[in-house]
Amino acid sequence: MIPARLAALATHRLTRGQLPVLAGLLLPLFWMLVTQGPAVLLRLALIGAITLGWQILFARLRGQGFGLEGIAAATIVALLAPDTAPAWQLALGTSFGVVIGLLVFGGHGRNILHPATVTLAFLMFSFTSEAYRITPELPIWTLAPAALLLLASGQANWRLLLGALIGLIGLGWLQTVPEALEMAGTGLFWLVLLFLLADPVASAATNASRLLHGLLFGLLTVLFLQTGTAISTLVFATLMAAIFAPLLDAMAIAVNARRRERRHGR
Amino acid sequence: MTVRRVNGFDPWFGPVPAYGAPTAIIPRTIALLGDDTPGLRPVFAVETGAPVAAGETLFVDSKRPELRHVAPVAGTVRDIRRGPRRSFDRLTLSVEAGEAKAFAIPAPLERDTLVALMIEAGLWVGLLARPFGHVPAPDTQPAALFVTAIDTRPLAPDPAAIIGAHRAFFERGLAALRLLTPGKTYLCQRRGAGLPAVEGVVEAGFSGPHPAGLAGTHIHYLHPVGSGDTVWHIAYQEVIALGHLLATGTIWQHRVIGLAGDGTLRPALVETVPGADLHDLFAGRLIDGPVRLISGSPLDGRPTRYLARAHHQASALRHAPIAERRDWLGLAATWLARGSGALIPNRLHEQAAPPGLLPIPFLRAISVGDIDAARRLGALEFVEEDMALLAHADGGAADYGRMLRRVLAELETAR
Repeated sequence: MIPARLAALATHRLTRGQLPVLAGLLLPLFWMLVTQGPAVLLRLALIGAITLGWQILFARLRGQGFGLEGIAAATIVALLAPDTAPAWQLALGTSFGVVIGLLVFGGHGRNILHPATVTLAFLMFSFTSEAYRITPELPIWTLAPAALLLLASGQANWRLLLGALIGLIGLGWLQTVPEALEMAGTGLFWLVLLFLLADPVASAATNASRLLHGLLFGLLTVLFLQTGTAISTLVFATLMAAIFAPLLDAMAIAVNARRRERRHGR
Repeated sequence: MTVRRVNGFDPWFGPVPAYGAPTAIIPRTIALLGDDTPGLRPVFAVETGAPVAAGETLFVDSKRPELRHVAPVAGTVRDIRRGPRRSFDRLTLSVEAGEAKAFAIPAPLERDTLVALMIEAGLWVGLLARPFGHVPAPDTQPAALFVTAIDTRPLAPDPAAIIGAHRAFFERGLAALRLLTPGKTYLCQRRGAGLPAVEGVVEAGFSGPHPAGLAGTHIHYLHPVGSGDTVWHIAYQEVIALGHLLATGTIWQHRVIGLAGDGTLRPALVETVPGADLHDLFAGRLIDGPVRLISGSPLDGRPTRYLARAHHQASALRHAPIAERRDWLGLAATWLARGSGALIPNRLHEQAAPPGLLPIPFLRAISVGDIDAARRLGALEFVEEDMALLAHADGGAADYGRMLRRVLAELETAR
């Protein structure tokens, strides 16, 4: 239950839009800027411009409005893409991600996958360069403000995070994969968890299926980790889990409908 | 008495008002509103300019004679106004001193005679049926009857205090209502309200924030309805009105309502007439500056000049700042919060959802008009007022109540 005075804040439009997401991305971006130099800003400018271009084109063609979700996705891609990635590859990947992952469905809120997940998966799947498999170094504390903002504003559901941690640590311990436990302490893991997995649109839509979605992500991460690098593991585990989210929703809905039929049919 | 704790949240429309004892206000004009009985096609029994006694029939539906509306007070018919497509908008009365029509009270009271009396005295339209939320047909029998004596809407007055002042009438009305159903009659109240116990009436307690006080919530816990059963529900002041009719032979010409909101100087409980002109009620109680008057709560009320039949409160709310004069901070906030207009799930949706509902799949189903999915997810359990908190939690831009009504209308024709 929410105290009455906090209800006004919780229903405020600024806590519901992309402002908490963008604010949460500021510290990781700043860290990258300090450790890697201004290249990250160049990537952000390129990816952001391409994303915005597609969004404006679709806004013109289809008359669908758009918010700041494109900039948020562009920032995540800019953080996770390697320094050495050629501009044309980034442009191609971003175009694919934002059009196929977001805009063809009718914009933010109607998509089923996060555009940044689609972009990163496209880049890693299409180009064999080792650079895409290098894990960016990000300390875990840089994600603390994001965790606070996204959980407090109700955008990232704690059930997803809990399910993911149980799946990762549980299977990691059972199969004795030490990398799985180490991964839970990295900033990269939490970045993917908070922004890509727990994105309110691209994740499961009921409380029960949110827990299952998180659990599935955790299990897939441990399985993929035994053959791949950290970043490709996380991206493909997110992608697979998000593809299965509607199925998990359908299961939760079936259980709910069954329970309702039993209650009514007496 | 079993108490059920309901999850939800109280939307913020200012501190909980401290209502004192009611003051009497007799408005100059009152009105009966077409919106109170959707789909009504009235045949008028009176003409403009005719004097009417309290309790005299004003109009009856052309197809359903049980939808009979009577004059709540004595007066003169001033205006009969039509809305779009010849619908009925409102009938205005000027309030004058006059007679009250005497009704013959049958003794002993049986179901048939009670139903006939309630219809004749215009009290039948106070009953509502679930599913669909319409006034029930008198030849049907509900599987259960729910008396709603708890109100968790923001700024609502406490039903227990109002019932306490009219205790004898309430008990009499409640005892008579048991005749309507072969099943159970539930008295739904706030935990510890201490309402009068009537033999044969099951007391049910609820606690927690809104929507703990909605009939839909009570029905969900005590007698869920879907495609099979029908249950009826009635508001506590309608029960007092029935008790008054049975005890005195005349209709109860009063309603006790709370006046509150950030547009008022201080909240007030007033004893007034059904359908009272809100301008008369709020006269001398408003702040300087633009306000809007709402019949009902800020959450699920509607902007209208006259008090609606189902409402036990009226709200005066400050107008939001005018758009052209918004400062750069407001403009920046608008720009940051814009989006595609689609539903973005938030933890608040689960908080605001009525019990047993999966909010995100349900809202998606009703917003695209997926009738089958909406029915599977429980559309038949709800009416507009159950969606009000979800719409508020979502920023108020989407009218989920209207979307639900469209789905219900389709389900009704498919029946």
